[in-house]
Amino acid sequence: MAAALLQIENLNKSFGRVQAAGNINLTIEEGVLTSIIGPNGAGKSTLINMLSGSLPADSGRIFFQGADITDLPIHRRVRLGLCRSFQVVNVFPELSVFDNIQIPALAVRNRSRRLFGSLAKETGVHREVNEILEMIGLASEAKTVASALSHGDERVLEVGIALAARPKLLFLDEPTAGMNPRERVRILDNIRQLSEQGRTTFVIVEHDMDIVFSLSQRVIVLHYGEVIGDGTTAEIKSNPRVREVYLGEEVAA
Amino acid sequence: MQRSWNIIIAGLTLAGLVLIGLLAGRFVVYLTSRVMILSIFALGYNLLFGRTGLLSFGHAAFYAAGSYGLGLFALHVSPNPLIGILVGVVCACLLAAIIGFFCVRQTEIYFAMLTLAFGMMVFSLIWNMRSVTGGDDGLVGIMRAPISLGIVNIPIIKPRYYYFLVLLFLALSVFLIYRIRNSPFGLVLAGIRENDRRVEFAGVSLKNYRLGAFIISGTFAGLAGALGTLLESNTNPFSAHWSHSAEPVLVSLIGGIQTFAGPLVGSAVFIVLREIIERFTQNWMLWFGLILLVIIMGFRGGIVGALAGFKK
Repeated sequence: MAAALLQIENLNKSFGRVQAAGNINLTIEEGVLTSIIGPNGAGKSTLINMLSGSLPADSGRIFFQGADITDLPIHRRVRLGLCRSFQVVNVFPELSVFDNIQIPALAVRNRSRRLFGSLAKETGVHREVNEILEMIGLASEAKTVASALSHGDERVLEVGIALAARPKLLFLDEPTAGMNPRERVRILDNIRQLSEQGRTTFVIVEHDMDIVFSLSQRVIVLHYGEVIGDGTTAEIKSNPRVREVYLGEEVAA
Repeated sequence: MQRSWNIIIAGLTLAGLVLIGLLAGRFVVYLTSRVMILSIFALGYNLLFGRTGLLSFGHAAFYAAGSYGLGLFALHVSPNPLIGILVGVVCACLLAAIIGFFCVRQTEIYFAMLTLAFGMMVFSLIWNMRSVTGGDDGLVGIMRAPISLGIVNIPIIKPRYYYFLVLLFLALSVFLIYRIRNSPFGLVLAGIRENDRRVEFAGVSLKNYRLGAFIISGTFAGLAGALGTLLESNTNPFSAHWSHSAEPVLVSLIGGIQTFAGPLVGSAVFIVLREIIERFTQNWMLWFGLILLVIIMGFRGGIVGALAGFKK
């Protein structure tokens, strides 16, 4: 069950004198819903950016399913099955909701290079897009232009685009930020279900501690670019170092 | 509903163009030929501009590649027009691949400036390589040899016959570009326009798709260049000049960059207006500039975009 999906070895990154990642060694295991937490500036975003390919690491290696992906460009990592969603809304604003989901669905099926093929005949992809829309609860908005959605729905679409790339490993950067409680419950249910189905392993960066502790099987705590805690929610809650630098009264209460 | 409307409009336009070819006078036939050639140039260009969101100021270079490719082939190798057009198109395609390779690494203003720089380089090369390109005289005396189809010879030297050859190529271009716009590839291009950062996280190689769009648009520019050269029977370095690169930009803007038919309508407006204004004044640019100002500020989304807006 617990096979290593992603392995990070001695990963370093500095911006000037600020160390954003200091010798990070981590293994993300398949099927284990993992959360990464840490105060602002702890290096969570830097870590995700390095793992997903938008930021080159200063040193260290990243292995995905045993293959070295340290120097691969973003789209190659996505095709291997490593994807992410974004904290801010990052969709295709003037395209329909359907097309937003369709772009990654076409790309990962190797259909997107078809120059003269008719888009209308991609029925296999359409079925998959509809399934995803159904799942995230945007089926009724399929024809709406993305920029006309409510902010919460845009956030839901954001997660949907990431899911459409059929990732084996998916980083969700604050997936529920800006959602109303109903949308939040729906997305969290989706994540939990998909995680149990086992096709996708989720790694969540989140500020909301309720979500982290209710959802995760494993929690990793970052502080100034270093891993200071790594374990089950119970272990993290009782870890004195973590309590000292981060959780403070929130856990004590 | 929308679809049947589009088919009716396309059919009427085609019928109108055929009627012009059969009935209109010499001058109108010539002018409409020019409109159709500019349409091919702009339709291809708008795949890059309106669809992919990349503003190029260097597409005259590819027009010139098609133009000189055909011209040199016709003068030195064979006057066969169809092979000549093919040679021109291939030249443009190769040049677009080379220039595009460097340009698509940049975005926005850097991309635009780089295409401008390459365009200027191509212009200077043509200007200075006198022995090959004829320098500022250009290439003259390019004949429209008859097209032989087995026993039938089509004398395209006659403007009316040539008009129908251009119409055929326009129809082919419209068909191909329509297919490309409505293909999976075309959707990815729209995704690049909308959000080039996100599209990589959809598993798409940004550079390759940009290059693809660049080469396709350059290839159609080459087709326009080859057809334009046959129409005028000559070509000159100014076909590669940056001011010529501005034409497809203006035409797309006039017609509407987010619409399929925009470049077609824009080409007609551009050429006809220019022809009319030139009759009254030497300063056609001044008056044309004013009219352009009104169209761009008054019709956001171009003429076609505005009309489509009315219908809703």
